[in-house]
Amino acid sequence: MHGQKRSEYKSRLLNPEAASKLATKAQQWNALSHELLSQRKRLITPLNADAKPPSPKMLLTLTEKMLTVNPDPSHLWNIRREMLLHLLEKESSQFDVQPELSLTAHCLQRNPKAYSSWFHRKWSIAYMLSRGKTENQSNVLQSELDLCAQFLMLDERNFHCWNYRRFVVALLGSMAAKESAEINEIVTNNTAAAANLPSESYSGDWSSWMDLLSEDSTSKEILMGAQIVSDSTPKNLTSSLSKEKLNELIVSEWNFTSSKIQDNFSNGSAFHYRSKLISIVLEARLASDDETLDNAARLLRKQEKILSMAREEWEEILLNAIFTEPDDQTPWWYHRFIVAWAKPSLDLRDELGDSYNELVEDYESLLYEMADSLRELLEVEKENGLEGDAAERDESKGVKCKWAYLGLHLVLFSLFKLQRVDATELLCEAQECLDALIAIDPCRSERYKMLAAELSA
Amino acid sequence: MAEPTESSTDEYDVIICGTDLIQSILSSALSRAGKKVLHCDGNEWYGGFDAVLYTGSTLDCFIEGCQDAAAAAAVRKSVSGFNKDYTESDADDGELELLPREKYADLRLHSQTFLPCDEQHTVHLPPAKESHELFENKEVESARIKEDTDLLADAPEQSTTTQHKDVSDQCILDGNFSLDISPDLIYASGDAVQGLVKSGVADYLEFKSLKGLHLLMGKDDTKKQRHTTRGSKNTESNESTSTSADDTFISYRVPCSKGDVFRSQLLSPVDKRRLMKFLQLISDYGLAQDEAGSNNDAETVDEETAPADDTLQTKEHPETVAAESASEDAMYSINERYLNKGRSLSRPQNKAKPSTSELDSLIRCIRDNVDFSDYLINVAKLPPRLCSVVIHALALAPFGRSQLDHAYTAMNGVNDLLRHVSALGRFGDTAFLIPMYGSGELSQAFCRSGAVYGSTYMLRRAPLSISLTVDGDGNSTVKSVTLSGEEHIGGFADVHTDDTSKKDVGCSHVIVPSTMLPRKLLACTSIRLRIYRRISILKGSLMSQQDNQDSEDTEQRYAVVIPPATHGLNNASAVHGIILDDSAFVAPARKGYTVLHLTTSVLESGECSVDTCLDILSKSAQLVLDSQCSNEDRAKECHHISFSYSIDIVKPSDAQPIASGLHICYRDTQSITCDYAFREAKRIFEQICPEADFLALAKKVEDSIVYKNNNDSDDERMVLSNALDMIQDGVGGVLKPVETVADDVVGSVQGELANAMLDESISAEEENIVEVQKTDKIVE
Repeated sequence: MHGQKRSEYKSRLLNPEAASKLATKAQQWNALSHELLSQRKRLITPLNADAKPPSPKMLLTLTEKMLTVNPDPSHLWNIRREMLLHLLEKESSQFDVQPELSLTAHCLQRNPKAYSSWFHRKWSIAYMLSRGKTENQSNVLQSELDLCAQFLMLDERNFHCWNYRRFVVALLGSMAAKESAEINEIVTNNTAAAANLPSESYSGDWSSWMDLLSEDSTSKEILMGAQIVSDSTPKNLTSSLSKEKLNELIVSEWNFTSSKIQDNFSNGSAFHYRSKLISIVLEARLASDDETLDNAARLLRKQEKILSMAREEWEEILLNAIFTEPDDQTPWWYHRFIVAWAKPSLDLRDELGDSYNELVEDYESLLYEMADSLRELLEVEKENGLEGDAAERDESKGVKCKWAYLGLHLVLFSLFKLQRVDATELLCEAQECLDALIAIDPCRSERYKMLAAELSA
Repeated sequence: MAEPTESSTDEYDVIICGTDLIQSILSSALSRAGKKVLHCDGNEWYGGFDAVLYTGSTLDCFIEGCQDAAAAAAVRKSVSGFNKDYTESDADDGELELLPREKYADLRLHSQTFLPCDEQHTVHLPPAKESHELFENKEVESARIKEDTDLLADAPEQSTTTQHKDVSDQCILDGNFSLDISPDLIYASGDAVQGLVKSGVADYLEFKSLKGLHLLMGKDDTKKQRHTTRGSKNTESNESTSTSADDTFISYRVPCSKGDVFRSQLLSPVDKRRLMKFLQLISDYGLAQDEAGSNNDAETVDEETAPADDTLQTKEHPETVAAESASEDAMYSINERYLNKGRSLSRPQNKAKPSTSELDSLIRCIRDNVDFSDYLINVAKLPPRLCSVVIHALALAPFGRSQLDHAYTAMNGVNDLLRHVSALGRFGDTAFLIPMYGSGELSQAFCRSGAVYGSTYMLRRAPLSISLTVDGDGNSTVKSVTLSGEEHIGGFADVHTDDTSKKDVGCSHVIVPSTMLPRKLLACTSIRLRIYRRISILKGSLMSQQDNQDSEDTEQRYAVVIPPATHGLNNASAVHGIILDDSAFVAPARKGYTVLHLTTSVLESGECSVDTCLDILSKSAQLVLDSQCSNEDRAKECHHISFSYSIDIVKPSDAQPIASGLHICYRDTQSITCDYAFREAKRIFEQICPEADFLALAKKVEDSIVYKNNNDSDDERMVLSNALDMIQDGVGGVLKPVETVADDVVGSVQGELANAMLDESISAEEENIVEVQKTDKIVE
């Protein structure tokens, strides 16, 4: 429907043949809809005890057919879930996830951005796990990853699909976490999270998994909300992932985002997923390290790794992306994340002592590099092929490169906050950025004024 | 359609000489427009210089033909006096003699290893030159054609290095190859695709996407550039690596689209920005032009109607006018409207209005006929290295700054760029499509469609001369064409050759390629360029998977550009390489062969000798191999053939046409695409049929296609009806799964449709083919 004028879309009704076809379809749909709702009512609240209640299976088939034609109405999916539960309750049969998966797959092919289809798929998977169907759980999840890859090949910016992918990976991760928790009681130092496991681990909730994996509080800041709420409690779990498999999974997910970004870096979802993954990838890379290190050395090692990963992200991806298309905002958001993520936490100062200063120095040099490149970018953007008069040049450069100014401001302000050098020059340049922003982006001038106030505070 | 005989009074509207691509498109287009067309070619096969030759059959004929050429010419000389000076011999009855078949375009075979040369031929061949012996296999430098005009005559005698016993040591080719004389790609959107789709000829053909366009460049200065952009803190550490300037060549993927630029290893970040700005400017220009074109068609002459060769400039520049009158709305609405057309270069949606001042300066440069490279350096402010990338790898111009007599102006450059850029993001990762089974299939397909519309085809009948009538004012008009008797060139001895008499066939138009005409006629209006080509058959895969994540995919479909004046080659023009394997069905399946076509060109008036050019090609082959292969799984050349032929490029001039009704078609300069053929064909078509629609489908065919597109099987409705039936029947039980129902319905509808279509087209074709068969010259 996107990019289509309403008048064009409506104009097909002018063709009497097409219009009558559509009218027939609408009639059929209404009749079915009515039938479905009334049957469902009779099933849930039987008026007359003598009459034969409608068959839930019939209702299931009806919803299936209607959803095949139009996957959007969520009440149809609700009825479907109701009927599924109804059947399971009455007949205590096994929940078969396959029909749900193929139905949703079909619906998603029709409309890859239907919220309700994706939700139903999540529900089906989560329900399957909660019923503790013993075989093939990780195989099913693995094939879900393949499905996501296919959908993302068709549209690499389908955020529904990225969300779903994170949900599946979180489930796989939870399995691994559960297993290692059973063996070692704790995966990490975070005992509280491990204790929480039974009720939380199969919700496909990214944050509960993150709790398991992360040692410190920094990752808490970047947690995302729950993917799905389910009151299901896991039962007999046989299939699971080993720690090595988990690391493999994480690395392959990380590479997956890389390849999607290489295909098209204007992809907020991929960058977002990357920001979620980066801390876990860090852990995975550290895991291979020498165990003999003491706590302080390990912390230092981790901080160094953070900085080197941040530098890698900047040089390999961000630098190329912002120079290719500085008006694309997605890399700039990721840049903000990286600048914040790489910053050595103040809490570490006491534990690390002198080496803390070295860390900050490293971070500072990364920021200086960023500032240099951004200045260069602004320089190129201001270039103009015209030998024309100054007024003409100013006019043409006016609207450009808002994000580069914002990025430079961020970098300068971060440098300023390190409070290591004489700040006046930095503040001065940051102020210039804000002034330029107020000039070229007057709609958000109040925001820039607020940032300016921060500078002078 | 009776067979034209010597006494026949049969008149054709148009006689087309040669079945090269341009002529084949024309014969299809003209017969569609209702013209009675006779299409003749002296060869055994279709395609002329665009033919695809098969090892073991037509390739052998081709080679033998070339080898026999000198001898044959001598024979002819004595028999029919053909080698007399090509002039309009007799002013009274105006006889315009055409070059004999083996002299078209002055085709010369330089070396080949496909056929063992026998004693007889080597007698008058100069010995092979040692420097050509490149690879491990023993090349049999056999055929080097000695002609009376041969430049080689002056070449210093070399020691004989090849012996006949080596023939047995050659690798024997296990399987057949389809080798194009002129391998061509087509832009995924543009004149060629438009013509193929509109005419329905695309149905005869299959295409695959080109996987990569690569640029072979020295490694040294990229590194330096990259490092200067780094932060000051790290400069010291990087300096050590940047100083190692060596001659190693690296093949870079040519950065065309946004994604390419982002990934490119060739460019520093700053260069990326500059290139992107420039490319977006070019695509803005294209959009503004389109917009202006659709606003007022009357005053716009866009690329299709412009002269086929861009060098044919008129004094006015309609495109420029159009671009200037483009409404500002076009600029505003670029973002939204064109987002769906592939995201190759479009700006993000949130991007502010692009500045118009740079567009203005581009338009000004186009109007002032500024040289393209001057524009790039002085106005667009691109660094020299980037300029070379833009000119040779993006605009794909074979020559740099004005090496031909005519300039490569900003307008030429921008049009070339636009053709490339606008074909991006349509199909696959590059802007190019590859015709499967060799690009010679294109001319065959057009001939086939010409036959469907009633053209008559005659192979093995070379046009010998064109008769003109001259009126009192000295204006000549085309009267008839004399065809040779049936002859054949080596092989195919079983073909009936009973009709050996010459024929004179009347006509009102003749289409003839420039290269068939005596050189003298065109000397003042055209520049002669010589195209050198080397086809190598390699055992093994050439291109390694450097930028493809899917390591399983080893299919070889690439193009390579080596810019002119490359260090170590000193090539006058760019070297273009096309690399194909069995995935494009030019090599036997699963035998692991790769076919490498290399092309370069020189001005015939220039200094470059044949040996220099052959040397450039063999060195290029080496470079391409070196840039890709690690030592262990290196591809090896097992066979090669090299030859050269001439083409003419029209100089802008207002010379009088030779005769009315005589249409001369020109091939493009060295190019890796064949889109030019469609523009050239259209130009000539419009001279002959000014009112008619170029390559239009017949009503009957068109109707059946519209029928195909309109019939959308309404599976939704069927599913709903099915559900309603279910309720009415009260069946709650087992039903056919929904998807199967839908699929069945769709399947059966499509099946029916396909059958209907098939019947239609077969009956349409049969009618005409039967007719053609009567004339006994049948299209294979």
